[in-house]
Amino acid sequence: MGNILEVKKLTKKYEDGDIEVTALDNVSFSLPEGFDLAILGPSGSGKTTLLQLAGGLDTMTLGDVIISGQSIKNMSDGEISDFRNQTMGFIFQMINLHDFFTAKENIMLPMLVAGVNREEAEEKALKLLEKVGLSPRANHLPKQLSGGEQQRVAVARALANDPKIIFADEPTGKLDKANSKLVIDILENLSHENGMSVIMITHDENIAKRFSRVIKLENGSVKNN
Amino acid sequence: MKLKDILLINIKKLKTKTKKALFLIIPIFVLITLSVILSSQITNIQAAMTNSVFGTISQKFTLIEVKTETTEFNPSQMFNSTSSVEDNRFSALDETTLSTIEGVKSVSLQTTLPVKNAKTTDLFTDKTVSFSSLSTLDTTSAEIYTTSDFTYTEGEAIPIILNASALTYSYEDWGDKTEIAMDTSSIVRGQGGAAQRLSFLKTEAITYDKDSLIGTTFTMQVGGLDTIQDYTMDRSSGTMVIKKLTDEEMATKVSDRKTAISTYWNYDQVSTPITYTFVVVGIVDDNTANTTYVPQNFADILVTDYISHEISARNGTEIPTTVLNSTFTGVTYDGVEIKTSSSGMIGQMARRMDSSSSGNMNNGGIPSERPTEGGLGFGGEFGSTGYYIPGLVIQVDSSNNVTGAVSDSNVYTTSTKYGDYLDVVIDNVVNRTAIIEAINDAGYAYQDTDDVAVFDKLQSTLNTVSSIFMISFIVLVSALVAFTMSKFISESIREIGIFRAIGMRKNSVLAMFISQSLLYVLIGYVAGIGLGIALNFVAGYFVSGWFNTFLIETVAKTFNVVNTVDKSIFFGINFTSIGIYTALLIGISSIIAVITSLSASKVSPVEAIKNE
Repeated sequence: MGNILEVKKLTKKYEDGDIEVTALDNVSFSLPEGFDLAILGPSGSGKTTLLQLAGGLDTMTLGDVIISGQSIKNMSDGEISDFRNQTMGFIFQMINLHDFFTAKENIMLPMLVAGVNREEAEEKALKLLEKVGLSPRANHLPKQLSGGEQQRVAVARALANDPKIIFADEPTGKLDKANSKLVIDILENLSHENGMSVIMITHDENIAKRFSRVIKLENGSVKNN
Repeated sequence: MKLKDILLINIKKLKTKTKKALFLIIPIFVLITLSVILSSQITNIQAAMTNSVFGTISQKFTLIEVKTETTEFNPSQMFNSTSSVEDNRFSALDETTLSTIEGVKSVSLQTTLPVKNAKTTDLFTDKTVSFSSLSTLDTTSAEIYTTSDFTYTEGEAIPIILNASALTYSYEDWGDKTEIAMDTSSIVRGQGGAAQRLSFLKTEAITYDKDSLIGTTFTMQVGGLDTIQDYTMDRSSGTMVIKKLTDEEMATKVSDRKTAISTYWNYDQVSTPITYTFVVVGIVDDNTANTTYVPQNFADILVTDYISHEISARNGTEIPTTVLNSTFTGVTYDGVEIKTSSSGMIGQMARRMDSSSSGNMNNGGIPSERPTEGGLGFGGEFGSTGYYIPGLVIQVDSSNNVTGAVSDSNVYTTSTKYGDYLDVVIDNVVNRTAIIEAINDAGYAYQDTDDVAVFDKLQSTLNTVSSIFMISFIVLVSALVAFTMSKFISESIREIGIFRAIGMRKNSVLAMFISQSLLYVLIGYVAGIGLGIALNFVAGYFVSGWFNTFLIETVAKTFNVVNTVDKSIFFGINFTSIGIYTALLIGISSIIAVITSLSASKVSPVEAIKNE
């Protein structure tokens, strides 16, 4: 069985004025297929940077990221965009639904980006809405939904193209306990059901306990594995 | 991603974020509405000016009549000697010079025909109209005054463009007196007007209807002997005494002339004018030349006929040089030019004085429409004696000494022609001012009169408004699209980040924002065209009101031929301009949309994950 994610000597430096900041310093780890990963660490430890680089949202300074056997390092914008669209799903702390789309349309978007026709996309979006328990909310705009409901829509959107890996950046950070649990439950069930790996940033030890793998970051480096 | 789905995203955005979209839609809408109304009304005003108000006058603005400068003209020199007058009349050379100016369509020399006593008795019932001056006009210049082809065709009535100033008739009114005394000081110093000068000579304008006059056929007699002056003037005392001749005295004068002429000519033939049939094709009512126009290709025929009529009337007796230019007068030929010189110079002289703007040279005599013995109104007073023989060409040498009578009737055809007027026809009224400057730079004096300036000013104001609006339009559309789209994009950074994180390519983001701005522009455009066309009718109502006020308060003061303008002319829509504005809008907004949207496509997907 191969690795779903391999992070090799990953380093990210950026200039902040005249000062060179090392956000991530020589981080290496690998995650076998079927395993989930929780990334723990205080703020400023480089968690989000790690997620951005692993998800191909930002460019790395050194090292490499290999997802499902493919290096994303030298991909063009078109290649990495398509790769993100097909292979990865994203869930953000700030929820980040498009406010002009209904719940259903937000879920349809990754499929439309992939070129799937509207009828097919709509059908699948409705199925996903059912799975996250929001069928009656299909035609509601995000502002008509609660925070928990919005994040469930975001989970459904991340799953739309049946990705191999889901990146989640503190998806429960803005939610109350009950909603947090609900979102995590849904995410866990659906990802396991479809054989997806979830990589989640969290600072909640209780949530982290539910993951098969955990890494801790501190000052841009892995503390223990 | 499919373009159709990108467009659907924009429609969704528009539906949920209508207020934001209106920031672009409404200004575009207003601009387009204004552009429809403004460009249509400017065209309508121009159409109203050209078609309804000024009629032929607007077309006349394509004509610039360059006139010989008369500033150095000195009346005393004129009368004492013919050669001392500085000859600055125009020739074919000037035609060539002016025709090189850009925007000039044609240049034509107006030459005055060396013929005399042209008149008609059948154009108006019971009234004889004399044509003091007949000039040539080429076909291009003639288009200013007539819609007919201004060309002579053998066997057909000859087209003629009458001058309203010639449509007068003169008569003597002595009341029951036979003698009139006048204060001579007013005559000599030229302080009195023509009416005061010789109060028994009356000239009245003939009322005519332009429309019915055009197309009228009439016969014109050219030549024939002068009317014998039927009065004498005595200036020996402080006052001038004008005395009507008795019938016996008149009979003697007629008989004396007959005897003199019969020595060398067949009297009947000399005294019989030659006759042509003309058809009125146009009437000039306001040009400065005060001349009646005949086609250029008819001039040689007329003058040759006129001369040959005289030559064939000679009875074979050789005419001594001593009597030429003394007992008998005519035109002179110095081997170059045929001049209506000496006492026969009256035609040209009268024209110079009639058209002179200086106003203080009007002591030249009575209106030349009234032919009198010797050609000069004051007869013997200026030393003019002799009998005018129509068609007589007197050969002179370079010192102006008479050498004989010309016996070649083609002498006019081969002579060099000079004239006081150059008709410059320009391609477009808009270029008038620039062309006049070029004419001035070439050394020709010409200045538009005030009435031309009124029209010119309105034209240029409209053009300026039009240009300013178009420039404003370009600037505003650019600024609007740039500003609103930049704002939309800067407010959509996270939104773009999410699109990118989900896998939307840069090009799709670019297409999404370009189509968004174009969609909003298009909505504003369609609405603007609709409202613009609708409001144009309302605007037309107000503009027609303003325009009629303008006519009454400004134009009517300078032009006496102002017609009312129908409102409907202001309801016209200028689709050409709308097309231009449409093209500008599409062009500019596309360019600006692409430029601004490029920044949207550069937004990093990292923006989606930022937790601020």
